[in-house]
Amino acid sequence: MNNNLSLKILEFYIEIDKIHDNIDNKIFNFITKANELVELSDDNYQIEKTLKLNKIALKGFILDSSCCVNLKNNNITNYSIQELKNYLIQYEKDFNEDYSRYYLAVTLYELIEEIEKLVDLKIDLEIKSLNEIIPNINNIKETDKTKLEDIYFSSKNQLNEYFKNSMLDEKTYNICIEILNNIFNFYINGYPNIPDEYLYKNDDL
Amino acid sequence: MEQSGIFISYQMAEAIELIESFDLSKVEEKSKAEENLQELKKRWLNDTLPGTNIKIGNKIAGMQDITIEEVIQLSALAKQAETYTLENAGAFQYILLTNENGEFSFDFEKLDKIATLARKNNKKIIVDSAIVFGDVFPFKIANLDKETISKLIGEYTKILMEKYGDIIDRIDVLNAIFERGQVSNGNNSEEFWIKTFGNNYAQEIIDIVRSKINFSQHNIKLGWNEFYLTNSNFQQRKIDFLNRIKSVRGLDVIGVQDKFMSGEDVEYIVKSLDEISSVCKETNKEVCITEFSCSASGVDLRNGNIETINSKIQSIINTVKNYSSKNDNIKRIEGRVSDKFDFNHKELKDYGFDISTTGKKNIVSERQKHIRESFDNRSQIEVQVYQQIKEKNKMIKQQKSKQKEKKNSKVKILTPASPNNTGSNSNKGFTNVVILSLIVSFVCGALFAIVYMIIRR
Repeated sequence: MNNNLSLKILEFYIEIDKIHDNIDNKIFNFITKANELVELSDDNYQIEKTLKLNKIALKGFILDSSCCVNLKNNNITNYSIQELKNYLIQYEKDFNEDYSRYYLAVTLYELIEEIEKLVDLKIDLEIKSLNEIIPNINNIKETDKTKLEDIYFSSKNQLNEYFKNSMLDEKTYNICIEILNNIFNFYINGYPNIPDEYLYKNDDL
Repeated sequence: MEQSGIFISYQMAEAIELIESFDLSKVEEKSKAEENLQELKKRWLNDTLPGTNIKIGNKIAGMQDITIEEVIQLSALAKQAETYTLENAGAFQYILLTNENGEFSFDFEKLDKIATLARKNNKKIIVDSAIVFGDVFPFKIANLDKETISKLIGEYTKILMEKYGDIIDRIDVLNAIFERGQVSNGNNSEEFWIKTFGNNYAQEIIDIVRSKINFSQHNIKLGWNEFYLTNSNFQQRKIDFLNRIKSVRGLDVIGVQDKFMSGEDVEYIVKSLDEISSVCKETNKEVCITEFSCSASGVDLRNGNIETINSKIQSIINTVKNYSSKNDNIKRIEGRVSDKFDFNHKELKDYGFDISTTGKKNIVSERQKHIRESFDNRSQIEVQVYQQIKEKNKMIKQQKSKQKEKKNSKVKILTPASPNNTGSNSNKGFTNVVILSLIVSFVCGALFAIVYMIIRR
């Protein structure tokens, strides 16, 4: 058994687990705040299933605000989120309007970007952690979706070989399988979805 | 028909005025003009949006990095055009100012700059988005009553006539009503106008404006400008709009805001122009194609074939121009100069096209990256997806309010009868329960008394 390898994978796993917890916390934080926005926006915003759809919905909601329409009508374009925040503050002052719903929407948008970055970081670490056992795992980033299944089984076989030849203990082997599943889950399904129970359903009332 | 009107912002007017004050054939004068243009650009950074303290900053599309050569082109275009559209420099709800005492005034400073250029070149101006500006909620007047708003609109029109009556070609009294995107405290802009002026608000406002114009002295037309009338994704909007304008009196021009994208359905554009033109003929109105421009769609830009983009764009431009030249009722095509610049010089560059040589894409530039990362930058698909999300949320909202209504009506049955409402069936349930309980307790009491008396005997 290669103790060094097991130790290395375990170290990676601890790091990955921390990021995983961080992602979960941020998703929970997102759901709580997003529910507030549903109320504040008078149902003009609803929580969507995927992070991407939430980003589109939030961006649209913000760009529909009087401030952004005003900026557009005055040919002011290509502004960053930070610049937008400054415009919102100034606009709120000038028009004595309550803009809390738009600040919240901007915060949620940024939160999704943070989640996406963390997921990217986690996947990078997961790929790195398996790289020593499965050198081809790096190619997954450029692989066609139709070939993912083949790569998955060949990767799993390589892990099995390591296990059979006692190069990995059972605990490390299980961790490797979990990491492998996470990686492929990401490349097949993308960023994590919002659990169904937090989405609007007809019987919510 | 060739494009005969252009959009001129106050920055454009200032830049043109600046370069025309120099003899650019002399090297010294040209470098002085360049210096002054840089100064002007610095000043624009500190300018604020009309009626606000929001600094425009360096985000003015098409103007922040304009060159002397481009201003020369602009100056030539401004001489060819018949009309200048003001880029909102005269819009009522933008230029309306309030002081600490709640007194109102109007800021015509930016409009003055364009008017000066128009007078110099002997051109007419079009006051766009003049009163009802559909996609911007009118915060400044939101708390005023109908009488005060009517008075302000009258005052605004009166000053417009006094200052610019001689050069105004058209006032677009209504603009982009159907956009209604602007929600403030639960109200969108059209809801505000309906609440204040009633369902016939368009007619009432047109009547106020007309009452302040001396038509024997000034040949001015009143218009209604609307967006997406020829876009196949907004078919219902066109139907609703045509139904509405049929009954509006005193409206002379219908503005069809045509900001086309490559790949739009050309047949549908022609069909829509036919329908609009026919309704306008029946009701004695002219049609103007306003904000005429055609840009490359996000999909085409990403696919990166400049020849395909150009041929798609040319196909739309030629179709609209050919159609307009054959149709007497299409009075004018008004184009956006800034969009023209965007397309020729900026938009393609931003997406990495080398338009001067090969027409192929270059490596992603820093500027290109910045544009893509800009918060307000969305692909066409993203916009379409958002429209669908919006529709879905609207339905959820309606569903929720219906469910709430149902719940409320159920609760009502348990409400005690009010003294004013004794005859109402909905409150009888509670009364009946009380009466029944009294009867039962009386009967029980009587029975108990009888049994007690029998036992005592």
